[in-house]
Amino acid sequence: MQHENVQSELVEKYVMGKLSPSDVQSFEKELNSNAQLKSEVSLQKAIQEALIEERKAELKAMLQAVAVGATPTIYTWLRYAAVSTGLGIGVWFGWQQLGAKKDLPQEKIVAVAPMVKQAEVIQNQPQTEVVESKTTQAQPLEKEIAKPSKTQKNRKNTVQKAESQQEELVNLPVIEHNDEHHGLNNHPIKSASAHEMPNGNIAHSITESGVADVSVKYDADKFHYKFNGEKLVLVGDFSNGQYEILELNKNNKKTLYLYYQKEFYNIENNNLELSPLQKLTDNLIRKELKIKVK
Amino acid sequence: MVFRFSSISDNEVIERIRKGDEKVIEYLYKKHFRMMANLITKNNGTEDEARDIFQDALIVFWKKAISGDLVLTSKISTYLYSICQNLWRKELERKHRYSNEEKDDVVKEDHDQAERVAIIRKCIDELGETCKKVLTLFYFEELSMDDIAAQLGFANADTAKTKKYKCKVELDKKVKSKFSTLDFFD
Repeated sequence: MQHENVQSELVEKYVMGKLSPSDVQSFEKELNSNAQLKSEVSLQKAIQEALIEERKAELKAMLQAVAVGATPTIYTWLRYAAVSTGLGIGVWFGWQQLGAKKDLPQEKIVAVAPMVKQAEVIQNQPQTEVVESKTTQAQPLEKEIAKPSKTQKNRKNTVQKAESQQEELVNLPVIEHNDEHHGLNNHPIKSASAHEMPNGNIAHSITESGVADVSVKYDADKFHYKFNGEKLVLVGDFSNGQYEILELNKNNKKTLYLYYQKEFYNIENNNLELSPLQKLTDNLIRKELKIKVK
Repeated sequence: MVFRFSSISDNEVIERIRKGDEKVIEYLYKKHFRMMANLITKNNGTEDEARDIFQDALIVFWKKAISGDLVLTSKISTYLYSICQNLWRKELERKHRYSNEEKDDVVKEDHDQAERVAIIRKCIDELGETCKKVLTLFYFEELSMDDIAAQLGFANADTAKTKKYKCKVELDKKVKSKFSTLDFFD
């Protein structure tokens, strides 16, 4: 028993590379003449490798769930949890109410800026109004982190942008990414230029958004959505809790769903016109999604 | 889930990692992703590849920092950038090699090994969270028994050592029940 323990410890240290060079030498001498020991070493190598893989996979999954960049993560489930709008999410990139008319039907015209990098949430409002975006400029990340959200105070009459609000927006759906600065264009291999080198401030690499050029209409009663390029735009009052965008990768097909207030909604990724979110009726998929949001 | 981090100094990052605070690598991931993505996408890579490479780089960094192997001679961002550069260079070489070589044998070997690892990972999952944590902290993070005890709230290093021993015996037993000895002959 004692001998077995000593040998297990030797095997363990050998596989972990923690034996001294002289111990390695004598161990390998034994290894070459002992088939059983050889088999045990192979087994322990496989076990240690699996433990390492397991831990790496765990850390990767943790990072994978963090929203960065602007394209939806693929291959696995993604969960982008947006903080309740009541708490305030997104960057106020500028808004301007052009007039609220209480007696008009529930209809709004909204303009959204075309080049922000993350999903937009446009607040539902009780009256007809026009909301217009202004040109936004990317802020240095460090600065954004410290910037307090004004969402609660100014929730009405606004278009919310999720872009760059690191502190409060870490899990917002990140759908867009193909602009000229960060697109998937293949460039010839070259060495990193000076501006790519770390300097503690990466704001220079964030593109500036353009001016508003899209106008849409929608009913305020329902949640609406559309894709603006690769960017998902959500319209509705999500102030009652957090929503999540889920991606299901099945049969080589990736499908997006929105989960809000215990209900799932379909998101068609080719939907370019603002349309009402439809509840998901497929029970099988609902079941599968439920497991993922638990 | 909301993470609130103001800017954290490099020293604090290392200190937190040494205490096992995983949130810090999420912070680094968010803070430096764009810079790393630029490196990859401007060198024939995609955003998804950038994500993958940067995640791997952070895991390398995490392991080095937590095990005390890391001696920082530059800013963390510079260090991460150079890991990404190396990983991406290797990945490009691998792609190049794969597209030029006869790869049937390599693929089969990789597949067998991957299958074996997948079976063992299932056994690891069956162990329960504490055992899994103890074993991964020992074999991946390569923490001392004292550090494992501190991180997992065990009374002392001896408790951690006993726990690790029992968990490992159980894992070996499970794995051996899934394979014959011959499976591990090269």
